[in-house]
Formats: sequence, structure tokens, C-alpha cells
Amino acid sequence: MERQVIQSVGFRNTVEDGKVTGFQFKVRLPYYRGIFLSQLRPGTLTVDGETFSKDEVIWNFDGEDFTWEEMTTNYKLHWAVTKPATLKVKKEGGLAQGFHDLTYGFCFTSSYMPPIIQDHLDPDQESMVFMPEFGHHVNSRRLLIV
Amino acid sequence: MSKKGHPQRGVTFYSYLNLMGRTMTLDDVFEEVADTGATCFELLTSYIEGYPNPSNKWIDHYWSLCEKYHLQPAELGHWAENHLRRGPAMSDDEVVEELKQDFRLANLLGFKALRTKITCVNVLCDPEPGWQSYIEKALPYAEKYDVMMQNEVHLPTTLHTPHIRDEYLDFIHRTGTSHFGFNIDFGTFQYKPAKGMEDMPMSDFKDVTKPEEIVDFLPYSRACHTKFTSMNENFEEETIPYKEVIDLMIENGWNGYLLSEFEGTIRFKAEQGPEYFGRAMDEVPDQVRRHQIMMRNLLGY
Repeated sequence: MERQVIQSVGFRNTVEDGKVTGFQFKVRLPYYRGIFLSQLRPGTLTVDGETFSKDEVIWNFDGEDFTWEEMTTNYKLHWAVTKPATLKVKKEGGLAQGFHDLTYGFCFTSSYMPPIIQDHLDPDQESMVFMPEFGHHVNSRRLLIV
Repeated sequence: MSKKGHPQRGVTFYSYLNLMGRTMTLDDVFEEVADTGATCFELLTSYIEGYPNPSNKWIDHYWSLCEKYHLQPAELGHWAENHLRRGPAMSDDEVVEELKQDFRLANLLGFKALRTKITCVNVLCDPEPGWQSYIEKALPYAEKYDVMMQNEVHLPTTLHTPHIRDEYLDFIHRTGTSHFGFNIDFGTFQYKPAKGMEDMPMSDFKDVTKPEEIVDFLPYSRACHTKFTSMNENFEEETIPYKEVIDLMIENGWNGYLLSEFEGTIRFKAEQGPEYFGRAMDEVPDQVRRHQIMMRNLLGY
């Protein structure tokens, strides 16, 4: 996988029945260990200043789609650090040809960390104590649509 | 009025060389290329796991990737090795055995075009005498496996360098074969040093191929390397006359494979240290996508 959290591989517009209906991109988990889906706290996606709330982003693991609500109760599926997840967004016409600035926030709970940190987890803001092995909550990358 | 050509837009996996096996698997390369909307690709024999004897499992996986990402095998890059051992030189038959092996693999993996590297004797790629003998002996096998060997015309060689006509065209006409031709690497049209490579010139750029020279060679080419060294922020290659060459190919009815080949400064520097490698991780996919944007806009698809 690429060093960056937001991958170039997998960044493309998505087509359904011959029409461009949205776009997708992949992220890797910047944690030192994998997590169960119920630990995930998805946040906000911003593309070129346009925001998409967590209601508008579908997470896909190994071909299976999940809304953020569905993930809150799924503690059986494990997301490994060695495989990226695919994020899918509906947008009529997809993204235009050219550069796009993506910023995406997501984090996860870690029950062995002190409550003061757990209680203030915000996917769209960095943790009150940054630990490199936990990675950043918010990541950005400038990528191209052909 | 003859019919306009409809060449296919593709990428050679060689562009990702520095990242393959490190931050990119073969699966990743397939997907990254598919992301650009390209429809075909070039593979090198080196990327075949277990080469020269890939397992059926790998071959199945390779085909599943071609299907999943709708990518057509376009060209297989291989080498006509005739100096594989010290001591007695390889006989023609021994070289032909090597070539047959690659032809068979090309056929197995869906390739009809090959980028055949022939042993050269100088920087202009004048072929080593004797090449005609073993390549001619290999022709029946190329026909059997339905592949066309293509000699790559690569900077600083030009399309008017004497050996192109005296050796290669002469061979094609003498044998009458349709299984030998040319991959014209667009670097041959490059007329000034690439950005960031001013201190490592491969040519003095005094003698370069003019775009119109490609017309005579189109009937002998199935795939070309659309070489680029640096794409700017407006998706332009400033050192190679892309539009002129592509227009000529289309006007003259060429329907081959155009394979983006990135050979920019970062490709050479990536091995020098972690900072450069880190930059390559960003720049390589970005540069190939920029090139594909230019190609998509030039071709209209």
C-alpha cells in the first residue's frame, strides 16, 4: 500500500448502467493494529471545498458495503491494517477531469486508552494527544481524475 | 479519404517500476491503470511471477485481473538474449529456444505484440551483427504463436538512423514477414532536455526524429511507447511534439496501442535515497495520470 492514508490506487469515478454516478477512493488504517467495524468513527469528507457528511459516505470492505450506522453494531468484521477500505460517494456526474483536493477525517475507539481521550474523540479533529502509532484523524491528498 | 485511426490508450507497467514490489503489487498496478480509464497495458516478462515458468494459479490470477479491470494485454516486453553465458557463443538455435519460450508466454497471456530488445553494439543501438540469422529462424514460431516482434526505436536513435532502413526495414522486406516491426518510442521526437534532466542528457538533441517521419513506419507498428519525462500542471509534455505525432497517426489510419511510459527525473533518483523514494510514491502515479489526461484529450476518449 502507499505511504499516504488516502491512496491513489482506487481513486476514480464510478459508473452504474453506463452513467457516472459518483466517485470512490481508498484509505488505509493508520493504526498499529486492526479494528472491528464498531470501533470506527467515520467523519467528514471534503473534496475541493464541497463537504460530504458521514451519511453520504459508504464504507466497503472486501466487496461489502456498510453505512456508518450499520458499522456501529458490527463487532465481527475486522479491518486489518494491511488492506485498504474503499469509500464510495454518490455524486451525479462524478468528479471533473483534473486535480482534486481530498480531505477525510476518521478515527476509532481504543478502550484501553484513558476516558479523557476516548470521550473527546472527534474524527474531524486531531486527538488531544497525538500518537504516531495511532495516525492522524484527518488526512489530505491531491489526486487526479482522468 | 482513408479511414481515421482509432488507437487504444494504455500504460506500460514499467512506469511504476520503482514502486512495484515495494508499495505496489501487480494487483495495485492493474487497478491504478484502470482508474485512468486506459484500456490496455504492457507487461515485462520480469513481472511474470515464476518467469519463465509461471504457475497456473498465477496465470489464472493474471487473467482475472485483466477481466476485473477491463484491460487488454497490448505488448509484452522481452529480451532476445544471445549472451547468456560465457565461453562459446549461443548458437542460433539456442537463441530461438529463448525466443520461443517468450512467444509461448505472450500467447498464453494474450499478447500479440512484443517489444523485443535486440543486442546492440553502441549508444545508437546499431544491432549486433548476426541478429538477422536467429530472428529469421524465430519467425515461424512467431507466426505459430501469433506474435509480432517489435524493435524499439528509442532516443538517441532516430527513424532516419541508417540501421533502421539498412538493417530492420531490409530484414522485413527481404523476408516479407509480418511478424517483425517497430515500437516507436516517442522519446525519439524529443527536441530538448527534460525538466530536471538537463545534466543527464541522452542526446545533444541536434539530430531528432521529425513527427512526419513516423508515417512510413506505421504499417510496421502495433504498439508504441508514448514516452514522457515531465507533465506540467496543465497536462502538457513540453519537450515532445505530442499533438503533431498523434494527429499524424490518426490521420494515417493507425489502430495500434499507445502505451504511456514515464521516464522522468524522479524515476532515476528514486533509488538514491528515502527522500527521493518518498517523492516517487507521490509523483509516479500523479505523472502517469497527468499523461493519461493529455492522451484522453488528444484522442477524445
